[in-house]
Amino acid sequence: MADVLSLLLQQLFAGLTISAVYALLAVGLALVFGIQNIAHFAHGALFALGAYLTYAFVVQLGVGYAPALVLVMAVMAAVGPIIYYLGYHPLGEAHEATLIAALGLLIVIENLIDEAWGSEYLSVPYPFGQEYYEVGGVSMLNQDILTIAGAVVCFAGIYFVLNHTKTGLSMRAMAQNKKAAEYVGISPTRVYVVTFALVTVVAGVAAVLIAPTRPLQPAMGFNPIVKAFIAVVLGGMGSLLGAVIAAVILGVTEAFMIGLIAPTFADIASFSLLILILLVKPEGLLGES
Amino acid sequence: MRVKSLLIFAGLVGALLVPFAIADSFLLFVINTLLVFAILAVSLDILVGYTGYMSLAHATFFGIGGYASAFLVREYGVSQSVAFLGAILFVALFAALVGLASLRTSGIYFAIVTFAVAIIMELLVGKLQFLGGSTGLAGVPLLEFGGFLFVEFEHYYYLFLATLVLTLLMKWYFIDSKTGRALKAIREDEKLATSVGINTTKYKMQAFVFASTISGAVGVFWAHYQQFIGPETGGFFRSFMLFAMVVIGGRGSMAGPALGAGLVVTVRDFLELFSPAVTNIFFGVLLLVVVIAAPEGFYLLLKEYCLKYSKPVRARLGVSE
Repeated sequence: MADVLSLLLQQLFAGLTISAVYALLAVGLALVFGIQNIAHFAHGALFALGAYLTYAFVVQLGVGYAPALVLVMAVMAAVGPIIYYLGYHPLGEAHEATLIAALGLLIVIENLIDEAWGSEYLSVPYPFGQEYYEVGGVSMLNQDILTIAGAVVCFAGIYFVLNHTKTGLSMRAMAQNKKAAEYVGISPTRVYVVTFALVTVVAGVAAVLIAPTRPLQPAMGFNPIVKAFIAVVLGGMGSLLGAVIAAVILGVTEAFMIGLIAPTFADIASFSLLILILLVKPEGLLGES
Repeated sequence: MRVKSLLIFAGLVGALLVPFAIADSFLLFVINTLLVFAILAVSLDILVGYTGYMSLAHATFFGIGGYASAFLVREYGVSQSVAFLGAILFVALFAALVGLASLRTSGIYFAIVTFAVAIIMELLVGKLQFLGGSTGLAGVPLLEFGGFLFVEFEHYYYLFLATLVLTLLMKWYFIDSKTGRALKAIREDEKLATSVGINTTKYKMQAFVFASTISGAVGVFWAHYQQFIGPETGGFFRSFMLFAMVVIGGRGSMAGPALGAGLVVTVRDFLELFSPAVTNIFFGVLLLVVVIAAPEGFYLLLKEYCLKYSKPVRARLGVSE
């Protein structure tokens, strides 16, 4: 009996680790969608970029892991707004065009990574070695614990920015009612730039945390961003808490599918779940229509 | 006589003579590919350009048609004509199902649902062993209708050309019909269309099943032409490329999507000399450029350019359009 319990808990831990990444990406997507109405698919490629930058700093330039984290965050803070200016800003208010632009950007960034680093698998070494901690029959990898902890810190940071800073207030105002926000003097462009910087930094952090645990390849952002998108839609487009909860549900379900039920159909199950939810409750779990 | 009709006539005659003018079979191979993608793009445009629904699953039906026919002929030795009908029926049914489910959503939600369908089908097909798994079905027999075996590139050229012309004619008729006008109304303002009594669900379903069945039919041809079909044949990336072709070429026009297909296929085959990554970067950039600078697509740009520069000539000839 204790065996079954520890098996379930083991999968739960695996699920939480997966969820951490999905949730971080999903929050970024939800913010951009909620504030700017853009389906920012390119976010996945930026996540991949973060992982490759980690490789560049740690492996190619010999920088330590912690300094690399800071450097990646700095680069991402700049890259985010640049991507916004190049791809989304010129479109103005045209919404379906942003989907096309997002996909275009995704392709461009992914392939630039391919050109720069090649398409063979690269790997980032574990910064603290691969140590497992045994708690209650569950074996936890130190990098995974770090990932989950890092994600929680990021969420706390985002929460703080949104609720206790003036910028965060502007962002929430824009999300609620763009025109009204403009009337009270909030500059949309400024909010958009800050939003993009923030979400790209978060994606960068997620990438740095997860980089040692998987092989790097240029398209590595595609699958996670799709899952993150599913989480955003499930949680209700624009609801951050919904996105996080949905990401956790998704990640844990995926871990259970992979570990216990049917690994081959894990992805199919996730996507089918998306279709089901969209058909039954298009506004998502926590969304308003 | 109208200049446009004259041009179309000349184009058709020229198209009929192409295989005689071209000796290089590789070039004919590229042209065949171009024709197939043109058919797919033109049919996708019915949804994207005229109804305003961005489907990211168009290649899925292409793949299903191909798999259905390849499977029936290869595994069960069914005659190709019967397999063709069977495949089309299957695609139509599947499209009806997907349509029923997805057309309840609209805009970006519709795009996401079709995207999910595309990915699910691509993954599913890759895991089903009786469909060849991830390696697909090889050794698919060449196309054969009523005793005639399609062997040479030239045979397929005329088949694809005929299908393209047929598709364009069907689209032309479709667009001016009651359904077509309803679709355009839906594209402009669906709520308003519903409120004036247009049965939007019926017309959307018609458009969706119609476009998807064309895609499936061409899929049958393609599977036997290539003598192979795999999960990527009807995969999401191909659906995305088709969507890109429609956008780049010019959605909501007759020739625009075909132009887009032509551009994409030619450029891709040309750029592949460098590296696949560079090709993709070029496309991504092209997509961005189009969406930012020429949202109507290159076709309209080209049309305006031609109209502008032919003005003096037309004036002298006393021709209006």
